[in-house]
Amino acid sequence: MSLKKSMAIKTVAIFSAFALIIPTTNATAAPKFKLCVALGGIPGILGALGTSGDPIAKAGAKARGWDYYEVSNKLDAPTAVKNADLIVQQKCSALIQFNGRPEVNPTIAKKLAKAKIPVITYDIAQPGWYFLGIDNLGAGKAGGAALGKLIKEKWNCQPDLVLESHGYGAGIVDSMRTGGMVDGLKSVCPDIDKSKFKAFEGNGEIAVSQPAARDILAANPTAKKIAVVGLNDAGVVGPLLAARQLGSDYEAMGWGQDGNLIAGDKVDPDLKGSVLYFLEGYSAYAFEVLDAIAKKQAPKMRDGAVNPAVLVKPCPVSAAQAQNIPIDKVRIKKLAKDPSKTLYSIYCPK
Amino acid sequence: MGGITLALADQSGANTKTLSHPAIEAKDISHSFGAVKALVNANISVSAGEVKAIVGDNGAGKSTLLKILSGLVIPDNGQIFLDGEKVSFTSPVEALKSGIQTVYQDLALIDTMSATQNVFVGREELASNWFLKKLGIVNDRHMHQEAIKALSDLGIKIPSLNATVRSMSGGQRQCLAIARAMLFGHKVIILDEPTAALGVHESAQVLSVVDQLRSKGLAILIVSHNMQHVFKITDSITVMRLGVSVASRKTKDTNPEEIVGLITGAISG
Amino acid sequence: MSRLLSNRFKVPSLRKSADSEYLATILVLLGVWIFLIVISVINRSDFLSRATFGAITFNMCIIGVLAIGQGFVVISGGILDLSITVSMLISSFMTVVFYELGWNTPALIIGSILCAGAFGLFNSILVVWLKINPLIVTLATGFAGGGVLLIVFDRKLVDPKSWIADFGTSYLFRFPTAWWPMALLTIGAHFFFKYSRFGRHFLAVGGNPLSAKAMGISLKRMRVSTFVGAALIGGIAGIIFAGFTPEIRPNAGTYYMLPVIAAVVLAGFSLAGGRGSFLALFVSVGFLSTIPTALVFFGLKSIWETFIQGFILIIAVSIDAYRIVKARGR
Repeated sequence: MSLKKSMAIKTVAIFSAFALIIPTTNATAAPKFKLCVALGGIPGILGALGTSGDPIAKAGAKARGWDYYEVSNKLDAPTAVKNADLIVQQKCSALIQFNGRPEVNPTIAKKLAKAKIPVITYDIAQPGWYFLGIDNLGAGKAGGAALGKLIKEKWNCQPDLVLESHGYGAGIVDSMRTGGMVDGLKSVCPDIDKSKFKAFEGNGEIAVSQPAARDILAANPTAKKIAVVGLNDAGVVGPLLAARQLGSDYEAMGWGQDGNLIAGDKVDPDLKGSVLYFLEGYSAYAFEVLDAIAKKQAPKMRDGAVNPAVLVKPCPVSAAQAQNIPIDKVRIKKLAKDPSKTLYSIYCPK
Repeated sequence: MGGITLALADQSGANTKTLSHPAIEAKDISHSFGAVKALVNANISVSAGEVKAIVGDNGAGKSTLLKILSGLVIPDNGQIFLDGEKVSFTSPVEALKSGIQTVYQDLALIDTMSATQNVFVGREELASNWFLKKLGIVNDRHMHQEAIKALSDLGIKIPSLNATVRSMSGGQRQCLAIARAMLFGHKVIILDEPTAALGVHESAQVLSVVDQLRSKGLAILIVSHNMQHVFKITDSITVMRLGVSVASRKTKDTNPEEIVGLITGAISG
Repeated sequence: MSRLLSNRFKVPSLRKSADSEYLATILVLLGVWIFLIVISVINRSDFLSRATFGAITFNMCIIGVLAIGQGFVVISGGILDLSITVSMLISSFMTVVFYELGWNTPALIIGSILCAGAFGLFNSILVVWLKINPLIVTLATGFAGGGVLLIVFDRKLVDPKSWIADFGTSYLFRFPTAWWPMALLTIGAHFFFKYSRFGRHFLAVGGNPLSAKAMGISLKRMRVSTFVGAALIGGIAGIIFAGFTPEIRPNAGTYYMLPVIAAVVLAGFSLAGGRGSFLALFVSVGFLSTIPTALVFFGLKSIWETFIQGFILIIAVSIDAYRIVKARGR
C-alpha cells in the first residue's frame, strides 16, 4: 500500500511539473483544443464504431494541432459510464462517441453537460448531442431505385412479388431504409400493384428472413419473379436463398443495405447490389461540426435522426462495382492520409 | 460387546459350500460421516442358505453397513470377506461382480422401464448374431423368456412383463426386484426393508420369495423394522445399536422381547 | 397435450407398456398435424403445393436435428442442453474454416462435428466433476461460447459456389438434401434407444439414476456421453446451418432454442428423464414446422409463430409437470 501511495505522489509530482511547464510555454495561446473519442467497441468494424481506434479522428486532430484522447466503450454500459467520468477528468473540449448500449446515454449526457463538453454521437441519437449518421432514407431510396432499374430492364417492371424484409426492432431506421427502398423502387416502376408487396419480419438476419420468406413464397405459389428489399444485406440474402431452395423455376433479385455481404468473392449470385455507408470513415464528416465548436461558433443543436447535424451520404453500388472497391482496412488507411476528404468522395462510383 | 461370528455349519441343509467360511463376513467395520460415527467396529456374517436380519433403531448404522457391503460406501476401517477371501469394493459394480446383490427400499426399480428391462438393466443380453452383437443390439426375446422363467421359479405372478413397472403394485415391484437379485446375485442378496409399505398379502408373497432364495443356497441379509416378519423368515438376527453390532442370536433361541430389549439398550448384549 | 388426449381416448387397459404410450402420442400428434393441414387446405386449396412442401421440409431440417440432440439429453436425465446451438455454431464455423483450408468433404464433416463434440466434453466435465446443474452449466457455456466465437471468428462467409451452399439448396429423392440427416438420425435414435444396450443404459439413467447406479451403470460415463452426444448431433446441425446461412454469426443460434425445446416437450419427452419417442419427435417437429407456413396462408404475420410455439411449450410443460407430480404422489 505504501508503495502505491508513494507512486501516486510521484505521479502527481510529475504531472504538476508538466503543469508548470505547459502554461509557461503556451502562455499567450488559448488553451489547446482537445478532441476525445469514445469508441463503440463493435468487433469487426473499423473506425469510431469499432474496437481498434479511430485513425480518421486522430489524423484530423493532428492536422489541426489539437490534442487527442481515446477510450473504448467496449459495447458495455458500465464501461461507457466510467468513460464519461474519464472524459470529464481529461477536460476534453469535444467528444465523439458511439455507445451501443444507449440505455445509459442519459446518464452520460448529464455528466458531460455538467462539464459543458459538446458531444457528437454516431448513428444513435441522444437529445443534446449532435447527431451524425447515414442518410437512411436516402440510402433506402437509392438502393430501391437501383433495384427498380434492374426490374424494369429484366421484368419490364412486372415482378410477381416484392419481398420487404423488415427489421422492425430497428424502428425508424427500418422504416427509412426498407420503406425508402420501396419508395425508390416505385419511383422507377410506379405501377407495381400494392398487393405484390409483402412485408415481413426478417430481423436483419439470414436465419430469420430465410424461413419467413419461404413461407411467404409458399403462400404465393404462382409468383416466380421475386424482388427483395430489406433493412440490410443479410435480411435480403435470406429471401434470395429461400427462393433458390424452393426451386429452380424461381428468379430472384435483391438489393441490400449496409454493404456487409456485397464485398469480396463470396457474394450471393442474386444479390445485385447494396448501399455502402462507409461508416469507418464517419469521423471525416465530424470535423464540420468540430471546427465550428473550436472557433466558439457552435452550430445550432440538431440531435435527432430525422433532424441530424450531419448526414453521411450513402453510396449505392452494384455487385460488379463493389468488386472494385477495396476492403475497409485499405479504405480507412487511405482516408487517414487525407482526412479532409470523405470515403464517399474517394470510393463511391460516379 | 458383540462381534460374535456365528459358525452356522449346521444351520441349513442347503449349505453345501465351504463349511468353514461364511458366504460374507464383515469384520471390525468403522465409518464416520464427518464428526458422526456411523459404525464402530461393527461385525456381521451370513452363511450360504442362511437368512439373517439386521435390526436396530433409526441411526443404529444398519443402512451404512448395508451400503458398505454393496460397495456404495467405502469404509474407513475394517475388512470384508467373501467365502473367506478378503475383498474390498470401491464401487457397486465390484460388489455386483463378486455376486452381491442389493435390493433397496425405494430405488430398486426404474419406473419408466418395463419389468423385463428392469430385471436386466445394466446386464442386458446381446443378440447372438455377431453383427448385431457388434452393434450392441440386445436380445429382448431371450431376456423376456429368462425373466418369465425366473419369476415363475419364485412363484411370482406379474401380468405383463412389457408394461412399465410404474403401473405395478408395491408387492409386485418388490418381488421383481428380488427376482432380479436372485438372477444375478450368485452369493449374497441384501434386502433393505423388503416388506415396508406392503400389505399383509403382499408381504407374505415377498417372504415366500425370500424363503425360495434360501432354499437355493443363497446367503440373505435383511434389514427390517418388522419384528413379526423377522421372526417368521430369518435364521439368525444381528442387533445394532449406535453403530455397534451389539448381539447376534439364532432366531429359534430368542424371542421378540429380547430383541427389542437389545435394540433399545434395555438388555445389554 | 398429446398425452392428455391419449389418456382420454385410451383403450381400456390397466397396464401400459412404454411403446403403447408412445404410439398413442404419435397418433395424437399425427392427428393434430393432419387437422392443421386439413383446415389449411379448407382455408386455401393451394396449400398443398410443391412450394409448401418445400417450405415445411426446409423448416424441419435444423430444428429436427437439434431436437434429436435435445431429446437425447432430456431422455438421459440431463434436463436440457441450453448450449446446443453453440455446438451447432462451432461446427458451422469450423465447416467454413476446413473448407477454406481445402479439406475433403468427409474429413471436413467429421472434423466439424468433432469440434462440436469437444465443446460437449467441456460441458460434461463441468456437469460431472464439478457437479453443477446442467441447466446452469449449459446456460453459462452457451453465453460464454457465443462470446468466444465472436472473438475468434466474428463472422464467416460461405462461398456460394461451394458444395456447402449447394447442399443448402439442393434436393435428394424429392426432399431437401438437408432434410435427410434429420430423417436418418430419427431412425437411428429410435433403434438406438429401443434396441441397443448403450441406449437402454441412457434410458435407465434418465429414468432413475440412483437405481441405474446401483445396478452397476456408471453415471459419470453416461452423463459424459450424453453431453458429448448432444454436442455431436448439434455439430451435424451445424453443417446444415452452414449450408443455409452464407453469413455465419455467433448470435444466430438463438432463434432455434424455443422451437427445439417445444418440439421435444410436445413429443412427450419427460423433462424428468427416462421416457420419450424419437418417432413422436419427428411428428412433433413436422407439426411445429407446418405452423409458420400455415399461419402465412391464414394471412397472419410469421411473428405469431414465436407466440404460438411459446404457447404450445407452456401447455406441454404443464402436462409434463402434472404427470411428474402425479407419478410422485403414487
